[in-house]
This record gives sequence, C-alpha cells and structure tokens, in this order.
Amino acid sequence: MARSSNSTQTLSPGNIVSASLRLYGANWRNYLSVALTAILWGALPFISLLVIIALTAATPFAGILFLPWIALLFYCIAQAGMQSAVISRLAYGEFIEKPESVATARQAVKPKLWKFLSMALLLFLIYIGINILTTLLQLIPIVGLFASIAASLWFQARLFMPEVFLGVEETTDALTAIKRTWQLSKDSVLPIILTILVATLVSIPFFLVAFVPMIVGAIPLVGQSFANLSPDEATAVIQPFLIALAISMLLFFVVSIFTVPFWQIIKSLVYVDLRSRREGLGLELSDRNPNA
Amino acid sequence: MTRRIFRQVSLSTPESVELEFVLAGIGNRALALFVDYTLLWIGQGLFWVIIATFFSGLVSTLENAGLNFAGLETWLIAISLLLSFALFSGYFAIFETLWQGQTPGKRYAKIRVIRDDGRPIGVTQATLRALLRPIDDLFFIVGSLSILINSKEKRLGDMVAGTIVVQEEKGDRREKLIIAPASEELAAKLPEMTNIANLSPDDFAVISSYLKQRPQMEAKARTDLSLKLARQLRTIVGLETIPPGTTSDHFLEAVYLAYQQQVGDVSDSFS
Repeated sequence: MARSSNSTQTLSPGNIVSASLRLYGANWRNYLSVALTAILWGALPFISLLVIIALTAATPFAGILFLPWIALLFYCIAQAGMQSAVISRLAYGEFIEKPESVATARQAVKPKLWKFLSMALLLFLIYIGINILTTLLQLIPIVGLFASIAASLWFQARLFMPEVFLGVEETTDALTAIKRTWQLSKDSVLPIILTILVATLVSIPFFLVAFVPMIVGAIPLVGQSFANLSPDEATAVIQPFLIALAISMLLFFVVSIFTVPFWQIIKSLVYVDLRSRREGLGLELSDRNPNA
Repeated sequence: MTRRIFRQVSLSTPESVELEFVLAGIGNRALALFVDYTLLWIGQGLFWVIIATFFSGLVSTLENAGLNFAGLETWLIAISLLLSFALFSGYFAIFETLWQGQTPGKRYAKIRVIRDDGRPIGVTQATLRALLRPIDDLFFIVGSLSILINSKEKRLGDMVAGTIVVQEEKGDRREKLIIAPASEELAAKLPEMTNIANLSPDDFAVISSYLKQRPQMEAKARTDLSLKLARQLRTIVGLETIPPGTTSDHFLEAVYLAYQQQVGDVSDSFS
C-alpha cells in the first residue's frame, strides 16, 4: 500500500498544535517516562551543586568536588538534550507511521550523546550573541523594545528545533543540525511563531490550575490588617498562604513536566511539516514490481 | 494520516445524506480566538475613545446650557458598559450569522461553525454561542478543557446551541499547475510509448503533490527528488528510451497529464 496520505503532510500552525495534543494523548505514558528522565538529568547538576556547597561549608576540602561537578554538568546537559530528542523521535515515528519503542529510539539516539553537548554549547554561544544584539536594540528609543521582542521571536523561530535533526537523522552532527534548522525555517518564520503562540495559549489553562491553591490561600488575607498584629499572630495568619504558595510552586513544576513532551512533539511536527514543504519528505512512489 | 491524527465526525443531514467532517481541533480554535480577540481589543479601544469623546462633549454642552444633569454620569457609564458587551457578543454573533459560521479569526484559521446535522448555523445558534462565550473563554479554562474532553470537541456554547466547529475543505484543490509546453507534447506521445495504466492512483497522488509543492522546495532537494521520482516512474510505466532533451520535471509533468487524460480528472479525490 502506497503511503499516499504522506503526500499531504503539510500542516497549519493550528493543526500542528491539535495533532501534537492527539499524539500526546495516544502515547502519553511513553513520552512522560522519557520526559521525567530528561528532567531528572536536568535537575541533577543543581541538586549535586547544593550538596557540594553544603559539604564545603562543613569541610573546606570538599571544594575540590567542584571539578568533577563540571564534568557531571556537561554529562547531564548531554543526557537531558538526548532524552528530549528521544521524545521528538518517538513522535516523528508515530507521525510517519513507523512507530518505535522507547528502547529502540533510545538505542538509535544514544551514540550521538556527545553531539547533544556540542549542540548545547554552540546554542549557548549563539544565544549569548542574540542577547547582546537584543539588548543593544533596546537602547533605540521608542521602537527599541518592539524591535528587540521581534528579533527574539525571529531567532526563536529560526532555531526552534535543532535537537529533532540530531534525534531523527542518522548522519547529522551538531553544527549541521543547527544549520539545517536555520535553513528550513527560512521562509516559515511567521507560521512557527504562530505555532509557538497557539501552543502557549493552549497550555495556559494547565498553568492556571497551578495557581488555584495560591489564590485560595490568598483569599483570607484580603482586607487583613497587619498593623495591630503581634509578630506571632502575623506569622499565624500568613503561614497558610505560604503553604498554599509552596503547593502552587510544586504544581507548577508538575505541570512543567507535562509540557515538556508537548513541546518536543510540536517540534517534531514542525520538522515534518517543513521537510515536507521544502524537501518533499514522504513523497515516495509505492515500492512494487510494475509487472507483478 | 489525517484520519488518525484529527478527530472526524460523520453526520447525517435531514435528507439522510452522510457527510464527513474533520473537527477543527483545539489548535485552530485557539488561533482563531487569538485573531478575534486581537481585533476585538482594538475595536473596544476605539469604542471607548469614541464614547469618552462623545460623552465629554455632551456633558460640557449640558453644562454650558446650565441644565441640571445629576445622575447622568452613572447612566452614561451603564449604557457604555452595555454597549461594550453588545460589541463583544455582537462581533461573534453577527459575523457567525452573516459569514455562515465564520468570524475573521475562524476564516484565518480555516474553520467554520456548523449545526450538529451539518446545516449552516443561523442567528439563534450564533447568539447562543456568543452569550456563553464569556464563561467558555474565562482564562481559556472551561472552553478548552471541554473541547479536549468532549468527543465532538464542543465547548459549552456548542452544547447549548447544538453546533460543532469543523475544518474548511482545502481551497487549493483546483490550483492550476504550471506545465511546460514541452511536457504537453511529450504527454501526447506517452500513451503509445509507455504503459500509463501501470500507474496506481497513489503514485499519481504523489506526482501531483510533487508538482504542487515544487515551487516552495529548496533547489537541491527538488532536483534530487525530481530525479528519483522520474527514475522510479520510468520503471513503473516501462519507458525504454527517454526522448532527447527531456528533463525529469518534464517527464513527471507529462506523466501527470497523460494519466489525467486517460483516467479523467481524478486529482480531486486524492488531494
């Protein structure tokens, strides 16, 4: 059976977001487990740094641990990038109807672990440049702020999905991945910005849910006067709010975990869409013997 | 692909005709809402500027005439707020009624509101949807959760009005392809030289997609793909000698034309 359906893979920004949510809904267990791995790798440097700081406070000799910590940091950056790319690869496979298991996808991306580090470092340097540029733009009176926002959005669209190239394409290295993202997005800046905007709008409700405890906790404080309260009484009044705030923060973190796969899926669908438009991805004739 | 990724509904009209629609999807609806709200906020801004100018003119006229207008301001504010709400709801209700289920945002996102039985919506449905909109759109929560959960992607307004929101049929089906004269000549000869009937409808759809998409493609990718398709196609239709001066694009165009002439205009059913 020829993949005629693949000949029309170009998608609008709205359809990219809807399709991403549908894919997410259908395979959320896989995506979430990989996302959790990615986030744990991302959090490990911070946790270990806190431990090292605490140790150094107790015994100054522990300061030597900062050196291996830098190595750990680099390894974690590579791992977090790689795991995120695995989600994109899984979504890509689902979309082109060649689904992979998590293990197969990991196996395929694993050899490129260090390329994810090089890509992160390259992007880090690029973004330093972009930040300098946008800061300079802000110095222009009146139009400066708008120009700098526009420039940031434009760069974000041009550098939207390099990790998908590394995750999906066999022979791509870090620099090529960034170049390819740049090239493919050349004529599609507005659709990509619209996709980012729509995806943000769609995820707003979930983030708002995280604020509910904080708002509920703040209600008793409305109209509360602190002027006549002793410090102890003031603490008693404000404590429930602080607990609610902490719950909100925790929820916010949990919601963030859920949005990681969403964005990775969106990136891989933008990738499919741009490659279909610009390179005719999926335009294949059925493989058959004409005389059969 | 589309079938699996996007939710579809099949409706039977009062005349018992089965119609298939692809539901709009939350992405397109969010996009449409964003466009509509941008326009509405600009409209509301203009409205309040005009109202303020008009009322301050009115008040100063009354003052000059030495009339007693105690309590007028409260009335003016109340009237303005009412008008502002009317503008908000009216925008959606009027556009959806006059444009057969579309607003500027929906037109941009290529989606449309229709009744549960596939008929165009009327003023009743448009008004009900517009009146429930403030609840649905409150922080985007109620409406978007409802769209995600409901199998027909209905928000509260859709449930009450008995409507669904669907994607517009693709408008570029009749898009004319640019075909070189050389390809037309070749197309006329192809039925004798080759076995065009070997081509499957799916293959034809691929060639048609390539010819439609090629103007947007990158030069190198386009050349590579064109050569690859032409080579495969040559084997499929059994062309032994390529007429001199034929490029791969000419050959693909010619096969496209020849197939179309043989089978009739079938491009619509595959695009």
